[in-house]
Amino acid sequence: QEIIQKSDFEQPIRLESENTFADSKEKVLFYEGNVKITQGSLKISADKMEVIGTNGAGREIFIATGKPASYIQQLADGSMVEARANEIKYIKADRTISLKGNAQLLQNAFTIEGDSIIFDMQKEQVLANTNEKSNTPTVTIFSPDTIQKTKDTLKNKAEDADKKQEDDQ
Amino acid sequence: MNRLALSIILIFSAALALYVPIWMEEEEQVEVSDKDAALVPNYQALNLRSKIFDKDGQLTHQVSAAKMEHYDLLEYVNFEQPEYTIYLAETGESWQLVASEGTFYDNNRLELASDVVISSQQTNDYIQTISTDYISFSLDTQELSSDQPVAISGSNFTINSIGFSANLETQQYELKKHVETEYLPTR
Repeated sequence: QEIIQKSDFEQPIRLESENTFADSKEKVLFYEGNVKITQGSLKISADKMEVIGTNGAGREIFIATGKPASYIQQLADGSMVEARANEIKYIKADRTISLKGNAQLLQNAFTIEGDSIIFDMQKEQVLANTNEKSNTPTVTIFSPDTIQKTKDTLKNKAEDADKKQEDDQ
Repeated sequence: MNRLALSIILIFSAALALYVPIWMEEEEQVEVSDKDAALVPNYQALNLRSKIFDKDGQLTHQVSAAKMEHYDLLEYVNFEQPEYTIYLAETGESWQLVASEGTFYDNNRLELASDVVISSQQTNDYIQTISTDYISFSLDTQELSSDQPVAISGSNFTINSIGFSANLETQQYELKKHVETEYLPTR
């Protein structure tokens, strides 16, 4: 079961900014000032955006930088996944979002923090690397069952807390 | 004098009486001042085709047009349906500039207006076409600029902006009032 709605990836990408600089020889576009990218429910906001087109049409890499840059997207189950970081790199063809610098990924009760986080929408995995030195990234499977399990545990905890409250009275 | 001769004389004198005033009328001399002379094209060409070479014999640009009017005094050429092809010496690349109207002056500056389309003649260029309603182009510096809405597109994207400046040779573009860029989904 997909966690990100596939239809998002079939939408055109729209990019707004105050000004733009393009270098056709280097196949790079620079966007500056109030940069916003939208693709279906995916939204990235940043101060600057670099779009690298050297890999060919449809394989662009979008590198957003900001204080912080932010990302938000709707999951297939309707809930939202959010992220913030100094740099957010969206590799369209691989369907991955890489966060670097004060990286935070939030989804309902789930919050992951680290220096760098890679959110692989295709493999439905989150690779969180808490600090630069540790080269063994912690892998969190960001799949629907884990989300469901988390919701259940949270629900159970809430119920236990309520019951306890009743017993005390 | 028989009747025949008499009637010939009569007809002849009637004709004379009719035409003499017209002949006598002074041909109206149209006084053309220098200033007006400049506004009259020195020569016109229809379905023009011309190639322009630099001093080393390199083809720098060629132009074809449905109609061309050349004004010597003003150093000014007016085109209808101009089609310019610019050959860039440094890179060996070429670009085509077409429009409904164009003017070429100071032997260097080209202004194109309405339905302007500038297209790269290299298939793998990242930026392929520029469409707008006004362009100013300098043949010496290869600088392009416009203050009108412009669409700059590549194989899977289109950048919309109000005005821009660019250099055809370095292929660098600056869009001060970017509106929106759209990347089409690839199948």
